[in-house]
Amino acid sequence: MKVLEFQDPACRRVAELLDAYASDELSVESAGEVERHLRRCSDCSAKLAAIERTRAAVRSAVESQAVPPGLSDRVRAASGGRKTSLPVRWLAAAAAAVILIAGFAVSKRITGAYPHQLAYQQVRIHRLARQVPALFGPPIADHVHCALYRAYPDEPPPAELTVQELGPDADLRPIIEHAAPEGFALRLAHRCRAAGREFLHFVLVRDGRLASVSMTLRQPGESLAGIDSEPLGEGVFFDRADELRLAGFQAGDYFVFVVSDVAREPVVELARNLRSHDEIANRSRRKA
Amino acid sequence: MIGRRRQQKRKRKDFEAVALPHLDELYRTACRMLGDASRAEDVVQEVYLRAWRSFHTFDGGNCRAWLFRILVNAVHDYRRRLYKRMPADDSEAVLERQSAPAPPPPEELTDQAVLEAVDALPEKFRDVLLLADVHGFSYKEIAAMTGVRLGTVMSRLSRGRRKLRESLAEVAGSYGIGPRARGGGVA
Repeated sequence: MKVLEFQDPACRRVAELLDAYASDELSVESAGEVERHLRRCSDCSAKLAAIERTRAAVRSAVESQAVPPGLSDRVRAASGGRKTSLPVRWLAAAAAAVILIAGFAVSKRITGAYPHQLAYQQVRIHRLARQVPALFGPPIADHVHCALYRAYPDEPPPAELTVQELGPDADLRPIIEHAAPEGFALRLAHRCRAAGREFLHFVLVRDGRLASVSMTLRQPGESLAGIDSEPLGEGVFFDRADELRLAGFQAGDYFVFVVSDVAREPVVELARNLRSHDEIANRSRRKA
Repeated sequence: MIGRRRQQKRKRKDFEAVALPHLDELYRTACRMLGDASRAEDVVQEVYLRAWRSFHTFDGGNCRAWLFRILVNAVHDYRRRLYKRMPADDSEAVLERQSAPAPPPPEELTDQAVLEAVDALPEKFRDVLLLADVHGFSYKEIAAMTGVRLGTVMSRLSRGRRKLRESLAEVAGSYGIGPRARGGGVA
């Protein structure tokens, strides 16, 4: 909004110096000149106040943003460090798992996300999902929301907890652990919900990278046959979205998906190992 | 003579003691520079990787400036890779911002509104504004980090600040708060 301003040459000069003055970048002489002017000019003082107010607002807004929990551990792991083993983090994850069993709950403790971060998650999921056929969308949502943006423990879950969370499906855990390629360790085995579907969700970790194995019941009429992804043989299909690699296949009453930001080979290996296991290939829905 | 493993461990501890305290501010800045939380996390991981690898060259001086310089480079590299697959006019980034949640109710010109206005600034203004106004780096430091002349840093900061004030005044005005709504003068 252009208004007739700066009629006074002194104001014009000071206006050019105000930004540097606000950033404390002026020489002592120039700063003194500005200050002397400000003392007798309310217009320029108001301009300075506006600069400083906006500056403070930006700083406060940026600093108010929450940082996802576990970031420090993921960063240390990714840059060659070791994660700390604090029993407290395990309790947090166990508590989070209970909430997830009870139903879908978006809590800051699980996702570490404030509303605008959840929005970023959704934007990201949306952008990833549109690069792949529709059936791959929910496992992507599951991986992003429930693996990437949550705290997970530093150790495998105790067997009792897995039995508690998975019930009659707890037998899947050792199968998945065994099928995982070299170096992967299980960190989560639970039920969760994403994109309106229930999943049996296993999260494996290797060098700070995550791999999800997600199983979900096939709905009537759903099939991977003819899907527009790369067929790997034996009904296993492969696809990519940004840095994620995905593999999926039908197994009895279920779809099984592998989603990860590791390279193609481990994802394919894991999918094939799972596909060739009898207990998975013919999986029927267990009564709880 | 301490063993090599223990030496390595101690070096690692030194690195973490020096570098990890800045994680949150690096992450928050990366979020604003890239407009996306998971990209920000990718880049922050990259920053720490690069920092760890070059830790032997770190002279023990201003660690914050050192890390932020790595961040600026990593963000620029990331953007270059990203935009190679997308139209040059940054339209993907614009699309994302449009999908962000609706602005807050009128009484609150909240952090959310401010962040959206910051994110809407063109990158070269936004980067300088973040480094100067959020982190307090000097013009000289910013020039060194971004590889841009001092005079350019100053003009980008002035213009960035002005654009931001204008867009915040518009947001406020559209919600019936602030001087503009009363038909008043310049903010």
